[in-house]
Amino acid sequence: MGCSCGTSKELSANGEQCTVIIIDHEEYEARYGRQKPVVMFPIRGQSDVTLTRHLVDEYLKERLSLWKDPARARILLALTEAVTNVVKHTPGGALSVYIDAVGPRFHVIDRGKGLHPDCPMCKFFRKGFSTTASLGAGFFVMMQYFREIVLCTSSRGTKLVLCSDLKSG
Amino acid sequence: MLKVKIAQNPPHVILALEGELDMATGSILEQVMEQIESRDLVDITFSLDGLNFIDSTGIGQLIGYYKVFAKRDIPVSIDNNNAEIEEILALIGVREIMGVG
Ligand SMILES: Nc1ncnc2c1ncn2[C@@H]1O[C@H](COP(=O)(O)OP(=O)(O)OP(=O)(O)O)[C@@H](O)[C@H]1O
Ligand SMILES: [Mg+2]
Repeated sequence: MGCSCGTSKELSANGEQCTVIIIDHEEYEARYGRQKPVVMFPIRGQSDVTLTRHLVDEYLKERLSLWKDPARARILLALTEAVTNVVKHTPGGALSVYIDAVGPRFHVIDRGKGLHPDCPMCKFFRKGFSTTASLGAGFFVMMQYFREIVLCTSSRGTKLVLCSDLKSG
Repeated sequence: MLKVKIAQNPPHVILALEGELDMATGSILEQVMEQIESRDLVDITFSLDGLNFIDSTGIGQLIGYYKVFAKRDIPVSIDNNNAEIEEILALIGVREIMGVG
């Protein structure tokens, strides 16, 4: 069984400018399989939430002239939400960074059980939806500050592609 | 890193947070909260002016304290004049939950 959600469904994003695209693992491979990240960090536990944020910041500061506040702070916040989800909801994973023409792209990949298959996918992106006692704000924050989110999730784990846009802020 | 300074002792506790409040640093705040002498406690204020980072987990932790202390009629509020932090507080809607500090 592949991805429970089919391919290329776009969800309305509360009137925000973020596009959410849902794909399966095959399409993920077809889209990104041949690309090499510029840098990669493991996500093993709580301390990696702060550490990966600092390392990404250091790395991009030296390489991208447009890596400046307020975009920088917003992207680091939204990225932290994705990394935190790996620590909170899965046994672990990794963060890879790619650099596109418009800004950095982050792939947050985990070895979890995937987003709960009984919930409609659009629910996860709504503010206040959580399967734990948390606020349920993580995906909502990611949607505010990324231009595009590509999601691939199944019982084999979740791959989240977060595309930023430093040029239009 | 997170630093928590007890800026004012009970009955009107003020905790000044400095640095970053996220999933990794939340335990530092939790340790301080456990130390607070609750006998004469009237209210608690978290001052966020010294923070340079907070995420939904950090905000969730503060809201958690608000809910726990509300059961004992002890108000918990946020005091913040830091624009970057305010943006995320507003996005999540913290003030609607906790009231303006
Ligand atoms: N990597 C993941 N693997 C499996 N499930 C996930 C993953 N990320 C998120 N989820 C699921 O999606 C739900 C919504 O995630 P979201 O980040 O929006 O909120 P939360 O993590 O529950 O709370 P908050 O981020 O506010 O602390 C989670 O409750 C969880 O069920
Ligand atoms: Mg989350």
